[in-house]
Amino acid sequence: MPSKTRSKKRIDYRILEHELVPQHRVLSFEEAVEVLKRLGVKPHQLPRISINDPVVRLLGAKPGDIIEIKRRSPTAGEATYYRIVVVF
Amino acid sequence: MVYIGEDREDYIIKSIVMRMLPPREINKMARVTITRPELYESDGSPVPGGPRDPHFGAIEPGEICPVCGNTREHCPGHFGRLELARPVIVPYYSDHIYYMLQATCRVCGRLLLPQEKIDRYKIILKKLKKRWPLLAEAFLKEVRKEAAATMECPHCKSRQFKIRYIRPILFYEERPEGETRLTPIDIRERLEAIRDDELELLGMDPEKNRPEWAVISTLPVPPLAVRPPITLETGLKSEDDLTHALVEIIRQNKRLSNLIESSAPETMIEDAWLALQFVIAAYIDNELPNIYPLTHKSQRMMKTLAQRLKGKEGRLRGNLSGKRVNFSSRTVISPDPNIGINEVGVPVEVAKVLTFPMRVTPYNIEEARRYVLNGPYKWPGATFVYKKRTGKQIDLRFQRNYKQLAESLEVGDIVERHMIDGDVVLFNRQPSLHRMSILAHKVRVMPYKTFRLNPLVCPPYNADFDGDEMNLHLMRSQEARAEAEELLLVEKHIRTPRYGGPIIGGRQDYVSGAYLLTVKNRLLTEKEVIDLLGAAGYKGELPEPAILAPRKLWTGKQIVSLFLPDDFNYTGRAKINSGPLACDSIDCLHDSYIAINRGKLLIGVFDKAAIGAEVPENVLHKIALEYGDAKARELLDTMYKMFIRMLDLRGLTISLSDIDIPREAREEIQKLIREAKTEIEKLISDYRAGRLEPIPGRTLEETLEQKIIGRLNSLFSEAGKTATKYMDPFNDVFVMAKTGARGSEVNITQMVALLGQQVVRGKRVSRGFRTRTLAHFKPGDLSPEAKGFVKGNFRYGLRPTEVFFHAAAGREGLVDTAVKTSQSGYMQRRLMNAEQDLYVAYDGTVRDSYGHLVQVRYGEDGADPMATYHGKAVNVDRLIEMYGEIRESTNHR
Amino acid sequence: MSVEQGFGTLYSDLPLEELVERARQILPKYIYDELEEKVIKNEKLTENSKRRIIREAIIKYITSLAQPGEPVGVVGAQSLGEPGTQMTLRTFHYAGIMEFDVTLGLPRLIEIVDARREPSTPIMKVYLDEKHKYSAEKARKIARKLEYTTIDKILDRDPEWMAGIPEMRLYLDKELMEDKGVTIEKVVEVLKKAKLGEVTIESEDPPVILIELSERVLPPSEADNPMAYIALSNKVKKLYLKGVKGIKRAVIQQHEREVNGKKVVEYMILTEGSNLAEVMKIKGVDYRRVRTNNIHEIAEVLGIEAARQALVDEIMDVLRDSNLDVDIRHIMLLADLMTFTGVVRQIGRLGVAGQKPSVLARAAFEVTAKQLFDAAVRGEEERLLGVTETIIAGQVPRVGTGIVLLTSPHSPPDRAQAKAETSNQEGEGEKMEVGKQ
Repeated sequence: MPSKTRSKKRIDYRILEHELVPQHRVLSFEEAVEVLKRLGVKPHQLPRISINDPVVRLLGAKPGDIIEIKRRSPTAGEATYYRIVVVF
Repeated sequence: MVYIGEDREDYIIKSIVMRMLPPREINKMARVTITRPELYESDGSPVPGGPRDPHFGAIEPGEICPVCGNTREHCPGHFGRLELARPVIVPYYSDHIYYMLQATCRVCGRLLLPQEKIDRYKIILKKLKKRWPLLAEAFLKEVRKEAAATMECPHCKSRQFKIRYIRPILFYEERPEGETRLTPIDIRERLEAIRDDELELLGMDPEKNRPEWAVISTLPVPPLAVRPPITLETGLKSEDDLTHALVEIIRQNKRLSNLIESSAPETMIEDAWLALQFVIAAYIDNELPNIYPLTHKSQRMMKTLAQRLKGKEGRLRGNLSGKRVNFSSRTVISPDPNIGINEVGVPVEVAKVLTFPMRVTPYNIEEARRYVLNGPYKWPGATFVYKKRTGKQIDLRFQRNYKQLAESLEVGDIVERHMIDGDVVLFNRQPSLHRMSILAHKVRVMPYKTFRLNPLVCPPYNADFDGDEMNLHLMRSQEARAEAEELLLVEKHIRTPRYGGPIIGGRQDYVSGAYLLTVKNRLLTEKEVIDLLGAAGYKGELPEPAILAPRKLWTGKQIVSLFLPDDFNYTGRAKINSGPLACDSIDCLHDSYIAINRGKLLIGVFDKAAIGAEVPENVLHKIALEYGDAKARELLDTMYKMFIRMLDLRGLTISLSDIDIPREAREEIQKLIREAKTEIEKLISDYRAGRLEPIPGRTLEETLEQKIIGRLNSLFSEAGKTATKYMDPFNDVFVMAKTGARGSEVNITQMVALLGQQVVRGKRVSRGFRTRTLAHFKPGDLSPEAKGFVKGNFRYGLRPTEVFFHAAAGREGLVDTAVKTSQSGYMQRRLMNAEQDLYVAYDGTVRDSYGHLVQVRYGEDGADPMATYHGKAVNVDRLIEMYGEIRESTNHR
Repeated sequence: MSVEQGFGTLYSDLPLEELVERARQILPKYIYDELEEKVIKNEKLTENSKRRIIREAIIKYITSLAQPGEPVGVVGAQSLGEPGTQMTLRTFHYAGIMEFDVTLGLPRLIEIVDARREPSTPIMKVYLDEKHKYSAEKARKIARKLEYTTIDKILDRDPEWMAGIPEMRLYLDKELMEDKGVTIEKVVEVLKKAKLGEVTIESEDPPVILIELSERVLPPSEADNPMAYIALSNKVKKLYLKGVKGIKRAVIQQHEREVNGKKVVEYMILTEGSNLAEVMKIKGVDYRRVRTNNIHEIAEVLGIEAARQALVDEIMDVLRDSNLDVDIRHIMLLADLMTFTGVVRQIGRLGVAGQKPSVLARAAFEVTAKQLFDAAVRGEEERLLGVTETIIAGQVPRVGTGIVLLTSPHSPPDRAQAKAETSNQEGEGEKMEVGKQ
């Protein structure tokens, strides 16, 4: 599909509104440190998210950033998840 | 014999480092050098320097190993070696050789990347390796690709050529003058030239490996213990496949060295060399592509090294992941509703074989003496005694004087006693699809030769008694017993983690019995009440009878209420609550809405929806959740016994008359069939005339099919409704279907009214002859009869064509089940392999064994599905039902 | 009640407000919200019973928490695998959709956990925005826009030609054109753009178009070669008229919904074939709710988190359709594991199970020999931490009761005494070991 890159750019902002996409937020350095401490994990033990992930690209996150994800949860109402941005 | 818990040193393997076997090691390990392919001399003694050389280790009884001086019990076996006339590539390593050749210079052996890049990549790799092993892997692949694409060495500027690799061992270089084969010698030279410090960018650990080790000139020959010869009954020796393969290698090697020595033409040498390479490849894995597999004279493939490890029966899956055990037993199971659900009945014969090592203490020494006195043949006895003082093991089978032995017992000795009542055992039925397939039971030793199981425990095992066999394991340490009793006991698994509902509970007779006991018109005499309560083991006062005169009578609901907790509230629909009996509040005339208030069953019948297995949030489940598993077990061991006792009192049986309906009912059904037929005939004629409107996106044929199927399905359910309308509500077949005990409306319809449409491959039966299903029909006939619609029923029988269609659909069902089990079995194995390391850590996160955080909170709310109300960790409505008190003032309003 | 046991009088004397505060802190939002709505704000309930309920709710929640060490992975695998035997094997099933077949049951489940690039029956659910969803006409218009249509979709029969005469006649099907919403002018326009030669409408009804093939596409030397005509005719048939690539068919579905007591008919579109990125751009489509059953496509277009949610939804849908009851927590765990690395991984050899750090675990799963040789080359270290590895080594796996690493020496009284005397200086703590984690 030759038009792929162009088409992606055009729908960029829309994907964030899609019902499947939960709220993503890049944590500040201090927050990230706090999260790692609270969870008792090293960065490489966190779930990952690609730097090429469409949402990550929209957020403009850098490799090594930790993204906080607020999911709607059928069991808990709301659930927080974390992913670390990695290069592929 | 060493006993667990006693002086056991915990040797823990911390890690195993994998590396290639260096030639140095091969030589160091070798205790003998093999030169001859012969196994035995003419006198039957092993040939020195042959594959059966005694230096490979002692394996015959009484043989003394010439290397270590041990007999076969203690000789670990020793390696030998075979000097190869020319070096040979090891298959599997050759994949790695391939990219190494591609990525390094053919002249100087350097990595085909400029120095700066090498330095930079090394730093990146170091970082990645530490944290992101998967990324490092991907990164290395990229590096290799980049290097392989370089056609001029950045270091020595020499030109590179493309390498062609034919699995498993052939390499060619596409030189300008033509394609040339690279011999193992050429390859080894190139690999030797690769620098240590560049190895890691090629994916090899320089501290452990050298690439040239992938080409061997010395073949390690495994000890005899690895390839023991077996003696057949005829007295003939039969060698292991590995030995045969080795003989083949030695022969090939010999041929090659002879050719070299006699300075034969180079092409002949090359051929022999290649042959040697193929034989060695086959010795390592006989199923490699593009090789000639080693076979026996009978053409049977030899099982070589890889074949020993591979697959379900291979070393890893068959012997290391799954191990065989002692102290286990297997026999047919049969039902015994009189034992508890936590119990299992064990035949005396089994109890006398499965023994438990009982440590003698001041508290049990008398008991231990009694066992010893009984000896090994009289239950409950003992088979062995281990004396602590002398460390001796005494086999009671060869002992006369039990009395003296019993008296000599002292604290600290161990008595290997028979299995006795109350021992905790593991009970299992295959296929073990979920954790409830292995549960702990308490033993009840019984006469006869089957394991006895309370039928209430059938659902978790998915067992029935049509010849099923089950396995039983006796645990031989107190630690294991305690753990099993705490975690695996049947009562701890009344609730399933799959969906948060009860998996143990009433089925079949329990359900119909419960219904018949609690049904509105059930009035019980004093004698009956006492009989029922006696069956349940009830101890206590009889309640006030519901009817005092002319004689004392109790309702079934009263009796059932005796067992419910005093503060238990419950409302919910019964299973019979459907169709004409539907209600959705306590004001229910059909007794189909259950209300329990303060432990009293006020209205509603108990059926599958109240006491059944696999019905979430029913009475049993809520009691298990709110009053504990022990209370639920108590109910299953008392109240449920009454249910089947009820059937003993009333009787439950079916006969032909139960599925017979009056003539007018049959005529009504025939009328329905005729009506449907005319409608379908119209559809067909519409279709033939092209008047049928197609459903969008469907062809005309598909539309017709769907319409016909739809009409026939509605005919089937109409016929079913008509049939049940005419049935006696206390007809036992009907009772069973209605209460969910056994059978369904479909089954009744098929027995009483008609079988309905037979489906093959999701469609009406359509295959067979070219344009028809059977020769009985006209070509192109689309009528229901010609396409598998069965008007007959089981009561009055089927026509021959109908029998055929029914059998076709039935056969498809059987085939489907067979396919499904294998497919879902494989899916489960993969799921298990993927997920098995995940566990809930102390902080509530889900991690794998390497500390990766998979979930921040298990299931996002942290709740164990097993402890939930059908998925809900806290059921607020239920709490209100149990504890909600309405304010006085609002009550009056 | 026995569940209460062990909690004694916990919170039993707290005033209501404080209990509510505790509940807010301890309980998940979902439960707290329900509690607030049904209990805390319920004026009919007495204060005492409110306190009791809230306290019970807290206790119930705490007791329902998964215990440390609980092997949730294994339980999850079993909970999904065990009902697999009860699933249908029917590949095609009518899931309330009469228009086309959908893969369901076990084959679909396997497809999902295999993370296939392309589902065997790709399907999109296209919801429409407020302006379009109430009108069948507007919905149909969008559906037409979606359907990928080439010339051969509206042809009455194959293009006609005669070798030697550089002409080609297209006989169009009027009904099909109407159904797809294509005008003859549009076809002519497309043909002109394709630069095949002179295009003229020979007849409007029945619609016939004549193409006079230019020498550029049909050199005179080839004019007698039938193969050249066949090639050209195939080319013409494949010419793109309209629609979204990958969408083979679009069908309108009707739903009745009650809004404020009134029945409202809503329309949506189901498509066979899937192209999320393009469909989201179509005007009139509710891009917030468009769905596809192609998980990889979702990962590409909407990101890994959306893919995770889609995995959960898809698996739950399959199970629900087969009438199987599996707790959603098991599915969520699986989905989180499958998306752990930021891409959708399959469950088998090429995915989760094949990427484990442990050689033995990999070797015990599939392709045994290769795994061992590769590990040797890489110089891997087997650290024996996972379940399979520890079982192979005959050790205790670190799940379940195996996560307890704190041990204290236990000896019978007499020995304990003797030992205490001899080893007093060394300290008994020597044998005690606390786990690393």
